[in-house]
Amino acid sequence: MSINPFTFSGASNLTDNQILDTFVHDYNHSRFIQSKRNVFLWGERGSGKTMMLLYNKIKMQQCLISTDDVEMDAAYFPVYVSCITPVMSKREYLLLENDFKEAVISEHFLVLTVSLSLVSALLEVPDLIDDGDLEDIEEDINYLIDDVLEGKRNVFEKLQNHLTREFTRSQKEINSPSSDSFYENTLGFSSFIIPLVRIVNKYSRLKKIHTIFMMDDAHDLNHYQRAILNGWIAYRDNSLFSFKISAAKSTDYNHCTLSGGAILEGHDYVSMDMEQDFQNAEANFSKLAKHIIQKRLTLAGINITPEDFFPEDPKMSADIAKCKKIATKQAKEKFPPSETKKIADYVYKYTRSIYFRTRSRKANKPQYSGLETITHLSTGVIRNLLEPCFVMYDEMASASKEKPLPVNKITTPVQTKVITNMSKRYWEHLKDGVDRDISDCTKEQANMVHNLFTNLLTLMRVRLLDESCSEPRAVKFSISARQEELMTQIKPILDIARKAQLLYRRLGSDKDDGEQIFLYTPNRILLVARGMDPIGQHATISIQAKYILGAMEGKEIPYKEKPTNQMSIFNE
Amino acid sequence: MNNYDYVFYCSGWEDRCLKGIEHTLSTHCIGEVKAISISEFSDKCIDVTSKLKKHDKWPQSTEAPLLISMEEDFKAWKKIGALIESLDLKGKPVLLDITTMPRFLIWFLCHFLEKSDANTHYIYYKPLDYADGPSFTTDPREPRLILKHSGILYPDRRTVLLIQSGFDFDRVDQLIKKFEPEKVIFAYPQGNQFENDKRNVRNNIDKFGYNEEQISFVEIDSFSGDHGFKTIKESLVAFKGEYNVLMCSLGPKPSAIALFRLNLAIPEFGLVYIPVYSYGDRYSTGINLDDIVCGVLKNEGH
Repeated sequence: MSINPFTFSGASNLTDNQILDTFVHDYNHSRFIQSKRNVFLWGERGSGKTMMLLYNKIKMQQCLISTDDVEMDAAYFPVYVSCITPVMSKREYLLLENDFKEAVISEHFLVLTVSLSLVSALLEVPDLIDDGDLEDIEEDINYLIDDVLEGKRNVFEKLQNHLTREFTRSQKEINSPSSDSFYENTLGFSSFIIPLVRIVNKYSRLKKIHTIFMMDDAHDLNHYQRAILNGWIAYRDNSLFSFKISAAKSTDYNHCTLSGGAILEGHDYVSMDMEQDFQNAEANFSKLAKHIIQKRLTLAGINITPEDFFPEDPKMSADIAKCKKIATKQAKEKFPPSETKKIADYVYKYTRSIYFRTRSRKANKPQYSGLETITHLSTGVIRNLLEPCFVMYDEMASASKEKPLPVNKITTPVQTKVITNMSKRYWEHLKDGVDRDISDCTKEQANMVHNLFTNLLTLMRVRLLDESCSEPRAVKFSISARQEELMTQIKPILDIARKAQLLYRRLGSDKDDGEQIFLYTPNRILLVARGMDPIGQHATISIQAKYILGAMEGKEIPYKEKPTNQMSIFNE
Repeated sequence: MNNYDYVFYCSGWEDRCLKGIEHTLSTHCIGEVKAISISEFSDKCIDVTSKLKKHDKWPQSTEAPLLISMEEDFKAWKKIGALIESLDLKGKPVLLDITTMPRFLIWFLCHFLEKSDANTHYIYYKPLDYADGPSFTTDPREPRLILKHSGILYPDRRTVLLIQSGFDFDRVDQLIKKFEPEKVIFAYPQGNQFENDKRNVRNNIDKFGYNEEQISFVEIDSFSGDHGFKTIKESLVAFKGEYNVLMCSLGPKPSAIALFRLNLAIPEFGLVYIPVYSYGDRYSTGINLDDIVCGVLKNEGH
């Protein structure tokens, strides 16, 4: 059987070559990573954060290795630090019952982790330092650690061993039976990391080296470590180093420092949202999705365009074309010929809703297929894009076990079957309760999540089938009349839904008053099992907080047949 | 019949909680009963004292249960430590009834009893049957490393996760998501008790959709003399020094003793626990008095 080109394994399980082969540039992000700014990358699991960091790490390393220009301005030295290691889950600090000591020991483990990663990074780019300087470096490091590095190996290997021994010693001490056992020889950012970075700068053959600490999955740090990291971000001088931090959007990531201050977006850092909003083929994510699939096909030796590999069902295409004619006729009856934009908008809004509305009740469910459908189903998350493609390819390849033929396209019945089954699985998962795999979710909360989606999608379906609805295919919503007592109850449920990747949240602005508000999109795979259109439209439903809470409690969200002031159109 | 200065147990609602203590009182000579109650479940627990205070062997000096919180386990740690210290247990015979104890409590008590140098025996009463599927547990929380037994771990090593599994699979997903192990070893029960051949993880692995290369299986007998210690140790020892090794007990509780012993023998191997905030009311039924599991905590063979 041929290798499935759509594997979506976590990026940390891939080799450098695999990362280089499969990564597709998002046109904006790399210029932020390869810069001296502090950057937060926000996105849920599967949105490509780790892939982005690792790709850029490899590219920066290649640049360092290959360049002879010692005066080059953009000499970035990448240090990748995974925060999702079991070390960060150690909790003995809680027994100290002293905020200061708890913070100190937490910083110590974070500093050790970062230092070990920095040394590993130096070993990956050996030409960065001339061999002739290694003795002087060892002298500087011995001074820094107030000790003598042991062994006969390269100074950085010796330092690696030293740091590993520090890990061992520290943990043995804090694991020792006495409740308040504390390790006295702790390391700090200012006392250890900054001097190490200065050593790198001093001896680097590239004179303007800038160290980039890539802190991946920083939401997994304990609250002290996050506050400490925020303090590092607030460090005034960014000439020597900067931080690129990835974190899950669904966590309440606090931007406070240990001293009680806070880091400020724009001033101390910039943010990048890894989850992409899109509503048409021209949007960046649509282009990115097509590129990703094209690249995977090319690597697998399949010389077919993504559109031809994932063809749309021809009957559905033909039916939609007919509906477009109907919509065009209706628009021309409604608007004078000079109103070309209004006519075009009408056709855009109503073509597909006419299709879904006028389908016979006896007809089978729609044939969900085509690159555009698959792209929209991903809801802007790369893993959600690759997973159905992976399953579809597997299905096609398994069907031809006896006659091993290459897979040159995914037939529309297979596409529909896989998409429909995935949607059913998501609903089963909702019904069984997301508390089963989301930590800190109670059974009651899981029921509220299920109720919310049941009632939300019922509302969206009613709108889709309502001829008089002004935005029938809107699948995004915002929350209005956000009274604090209501939002206190609503927010935890929304957060759980986001952690479960059932709901995505982006920032948008209200066209009416320009206020920045959150826009929520259910994972579009959920729409399929309800026979709805995953290719939504560029519009948002505004729902009052009391109705959102009501939905969570099992009540229908009220809907008026005729459009009201509640319905707003948003541009993102 | 043995003499024990103290028996420690955890308040519960299963049949075997009350019946287990009753049996212990009838068959051994107990100086004092020390109950520990988990505050998150205390409203559904049986009041053993009021049921047994008229038992002719009920120690009248018995006090109210020590109330601890599972959520704030670091505070629970200190309370249990203070309790054990106050009893001056060096060399004294003590019985640890692990039947209805959450594993974190088993490990906390094992820690302090070892530290106090008590002569600790343990006892476990099997039920007549277990509940099915969804009735087991719900509301799992984030997996936690056990205080002072979290292992010696390194950020530049991949992780091997050993899961001593039973029939409850919800928590398995939580563990794997939290630690993203490179390898998972399931230590699953051998035999056909409680329809094990249908219900164990090996026969249900398809439900999880894991990569086959990541997973391996070892069969253990949690009710044997060493509760699977030797088999588990053999499956893990090759990873020492190369991987972070974490161990979690989700199956029959005597294996929690085996994992504790393994952590004592190899402190680099850490213990993990998943707090659960809801247990099915029909988690288990009855008590099996014909097949009681017991042993000595400080087993020199290990």
